[in-house]
Parts: sequence; C-alpha cells; structure tokens
Amino acid sequence: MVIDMTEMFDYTFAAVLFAFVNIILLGILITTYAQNLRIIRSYFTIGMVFVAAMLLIQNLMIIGFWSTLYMESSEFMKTVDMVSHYMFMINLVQTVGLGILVWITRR
Amino acid sequence: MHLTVASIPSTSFLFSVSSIICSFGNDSSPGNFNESRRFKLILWSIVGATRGGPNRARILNLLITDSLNSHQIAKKLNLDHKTIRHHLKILTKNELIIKSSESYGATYTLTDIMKQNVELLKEIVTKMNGN
Repeated sequence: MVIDMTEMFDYTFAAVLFAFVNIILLGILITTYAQNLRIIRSYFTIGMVFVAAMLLIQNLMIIGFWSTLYMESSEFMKTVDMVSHYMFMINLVQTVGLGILVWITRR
Repeated sequence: MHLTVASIPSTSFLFSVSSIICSFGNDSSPGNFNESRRFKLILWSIVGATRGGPNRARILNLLITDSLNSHQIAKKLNLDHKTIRHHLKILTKNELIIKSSESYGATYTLTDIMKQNVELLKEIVTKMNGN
C-alpha cells in the first residue's frame, strides 16, 4: 500500500502556523524599532517601524482570512487549498528571512 | 576604502542592492561605488536598526574628540563594561572604529571613513533625545 505523503500534509494549516511565527518575529522587530524610534526620530527609524507594521498587517490578514472566509466557505476552502503549497512556501521563506533579521537586530 | 560588514551578514546583501540603486542616476562607474551613501546605510543600519544602536551612536560620539579605552567609555556612559565591549566589537568589525593595539587597556579611535563622515554621525546624535 502506497501512502501519498503530500495528501497527509495540510499546507494551509502549515502556512497559517508560519504566519503565527511571523507575527511573533515581527512583534520582536517592531518592539526594537519602536524603542529606537523613541530615542532617534528620523525617516530611517520611522521607515523601519512602518515596513515591519505592513508585514504584520499582511500576516494578520492571512490569519483573519483563514479563520473567517476559509473556515466558513467550502468554495473558498477549495480555491485556497489549490494554491496552499505556494502560500506555505511564501510564509516559510518569510519566516526564514524574518528570523535572520531578528538575529541581526538583537545582536 | 572597502568596507566590510562581518557582523551583519544580510547588510552585505543590502549593500549589493543599494550599490546597484546608487549607481543609477549618477555618473559613477560600476566599479566606483558611492562610498558616502554606502557608509550612510551602514551607519544607519547599525545605529537605527539594532537593539543597542543608540548606545553605539553614543560611543561613536564620544570617540569624535577622544581616544578612549573600554573602561573609560563604560564609565562615561554609565553602562556595563561587558555591554560596551560587545558594542566595541561590533563597531570594530564594521570598521567604524579601530583599536590602537592588542594590549590590555588599548584605546579606540574612529576610522578614517568614519572621520570623513563625522557630520552624518553628528546629524544622528542631534536627532537623539537626551543625548
């Protein structure tokens, strides 16, 4: 009996899980950037907070869509599941990138 | 002068991107990078985008006028000596400051490129609250 591992893995759920991780990482970044902004008021420090806040909104929207539209509409669920591999990859890459950024920022 | 960012790996990637961006709209050849803009990016990244950034700016500000060792800097800024040593290591790795020797109590001074861009540092320091 051959088991298809790709069917066992819920890419949508994994993507949402990584969105949660991204939110935590972005929270750490925003805290650090906001602390710097309090001390140094400049376009650079404001820009850093703004960029991190935009990414935070993006990840919050993923969670929002997942918990409302995805859970409540079977049509939407089918459509999302068709592209869930890509969503998973995008969020995974973002998690790796943000992880490196947090490491650099906290040094 | 070539700048390295050993302690901030992804900043080197940013440099590559910024050097491409900087090469547009000016007359510099591909090999002749706009050092001033590259330096500005390093300084802002180290001061504005890291947790200990404001303290690093304070250290650089102290070293504009005097050559000081880690103990003297820690005393002047009223910070832990270990913290100061960490900041000095990061600043040295990024070629913003240079150690006079390897002996105990060696003093630190600004590098030539940092001295050339001291106005930028002063600009950052003036933007700091309670400097």
